[in-house]
Amino acid sequence: MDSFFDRTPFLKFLNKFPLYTYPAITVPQCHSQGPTLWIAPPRASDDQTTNSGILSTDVECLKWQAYIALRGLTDIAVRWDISPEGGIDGRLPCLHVPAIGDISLELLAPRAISRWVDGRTGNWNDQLNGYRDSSLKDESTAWVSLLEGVVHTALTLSQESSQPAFCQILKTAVARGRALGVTLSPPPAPLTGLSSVLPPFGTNITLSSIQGQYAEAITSLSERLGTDRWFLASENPTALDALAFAYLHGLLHSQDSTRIEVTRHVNLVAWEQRVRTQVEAAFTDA
Amino acid sequence: MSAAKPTTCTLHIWPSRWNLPSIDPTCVAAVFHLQLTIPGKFEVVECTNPDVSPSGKLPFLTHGHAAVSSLPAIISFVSSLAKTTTSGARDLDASLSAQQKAKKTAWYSHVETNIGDLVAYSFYSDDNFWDFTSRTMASMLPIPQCYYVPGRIREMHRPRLETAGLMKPPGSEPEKDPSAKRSNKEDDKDKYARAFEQDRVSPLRLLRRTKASFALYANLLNRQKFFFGDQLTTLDIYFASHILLLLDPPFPNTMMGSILEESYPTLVEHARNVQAEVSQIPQYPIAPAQKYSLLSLIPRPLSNPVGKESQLDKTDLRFRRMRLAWFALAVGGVACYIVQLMLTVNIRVEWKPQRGQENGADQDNETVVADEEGNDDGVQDGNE
Repeated sequence: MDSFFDRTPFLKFLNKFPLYTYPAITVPQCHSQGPTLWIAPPRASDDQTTNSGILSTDVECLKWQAYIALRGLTDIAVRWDISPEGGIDGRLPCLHVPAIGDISLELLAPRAISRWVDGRTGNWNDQLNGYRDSSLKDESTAWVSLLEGVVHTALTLSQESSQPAFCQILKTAVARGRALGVTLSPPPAPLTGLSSVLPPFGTNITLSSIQGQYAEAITSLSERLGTDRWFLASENPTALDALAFAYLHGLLHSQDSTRIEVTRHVNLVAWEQRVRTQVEAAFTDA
Repeated sequence: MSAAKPTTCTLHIWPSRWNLPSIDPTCVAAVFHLQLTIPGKFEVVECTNPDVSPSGKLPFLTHGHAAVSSLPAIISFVSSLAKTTTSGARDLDASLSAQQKAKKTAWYSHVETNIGDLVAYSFYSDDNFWDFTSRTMASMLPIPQCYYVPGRIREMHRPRLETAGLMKPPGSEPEKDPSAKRSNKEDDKDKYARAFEQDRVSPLRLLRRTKASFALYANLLNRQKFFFGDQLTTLDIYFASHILLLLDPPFPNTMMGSILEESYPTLVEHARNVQAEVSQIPQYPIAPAQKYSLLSLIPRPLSNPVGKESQLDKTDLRFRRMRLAWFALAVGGVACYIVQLMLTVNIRVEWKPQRGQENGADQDNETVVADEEGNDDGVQDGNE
């Protein structure tokens, strides 16, 4: 029976929209049977002798890599083929813990990683979190504020200025303004001003405007470290050391104006190099 | 603005209220710092247009040709003045050791973030903003800025307060109790209430966070007069400027001030001690504010701060005039050259029809002529 769909003009019309079939996308398999840390991609490295291509370029991911490594855990794999949208709350890092015995499979957000590490190391009862006394523990919060404030802003601005101009244009001023407004206190003013009739747009902040504060922050960090093995003269590495390492490593791979401020302080460069060796040795590629 | 002496610094800050130099903690800290370091060598201008500042925020300091914005830059500038023996400026941190200065830098950053967040919450939370802060700011601002600038400043602080957990992001709703059955009318009332309580966070969480922040400084103070012993430093000034803005303004919701006075009297005493030290110094002169101009509605070029305009001397003016004259001569010379070129060069355009077209036209003409006279005369030459 001659149906409507068998008629030649209808087939000719459909032939204008051919159907292509693509092969299935193979999901990359993780061959590691142990815990795996999902991180942002590391920096490409030509050095084949060291494991330097395993440290994430994202400060948040590197901070947790350093935290896990400095707490003495060495059997952790890393993978960077998962986009941030695949992580919890749309962010990386995440820690994938496979099912072992009665323990079910878990995917941990950053806020749960420290508790997991405490469970692995058996270190539940340290009220001082590794610091020598309560005053140093209080002081550590001040150093965290300094690192996550002006140092983070300087690193962000130096990374932005190293991008091509078209990337900076594509990255919306709204996103950039919100990111810097969260980091800095008081937040920066809009580029179009507060009093003008134009709606607020952009952020009125440049690297040169915070250069003085940034230089003072790095000098203070160097002075406080001195010749100690760990910050605040702790016997063992603490969360502050992991955070400081993440920022120093990022700054030493940033553009000249921010990198030079760190390289002026020999103790910071030597400390970063020593800690980097320890952190790189703790991870394997999944 | 009054004509400033070459060695006089001019500090531009938000206007004063509630017996405090300004409504902004960094402006209060800047005034305190200058009173203690260069007393009698600066004047204050109460400014309501932060766009005139190089960074778009107040305070900023002008000294001769220089314009310095942000409090750390102002402190650094005044400290550099202290190093010149002729200026007579005092360095508040001179008595600190290198390691104490390093700790001071870290704690300064902590005050900026943690205590700064609490001050911003006090000013811009729903409880205080609509009935107090916006009205206070609107009374200082001219029309039409009074209608939109307070809201813009609040939105400028919003991302930071949301990240700190002191304000809820818009669109986030409290969890519904699935077991509770409500009527439609009550649901509408609940939605109405929730829409206006959108920015509120849990009071218990706020209380816990506030007490944790204040406890750090109470421990750091450790029953001393100031943070580093008996000597006043920039950290004491910066911290006290924040605490005074939690204590003195008559907020509708005085939770922060109550917590300070009931649980942390040492911090209140510290702030009053700093205020007492500053009050011993004679009051600074207040210069008349800049007249309001409609040009403030247009975004001001960032490279043209206030300080540079009024300080041009004769040499600079002459240079500017010569530069303008050079540009005018260059443009005029190019224009004259183009006109001369157009006069001397004749451009003639002639249209010559092609040969094929001519023959074709003749044949047409022939055809047209034969048709008109009939065929007796035969084909005549079209040229006749």
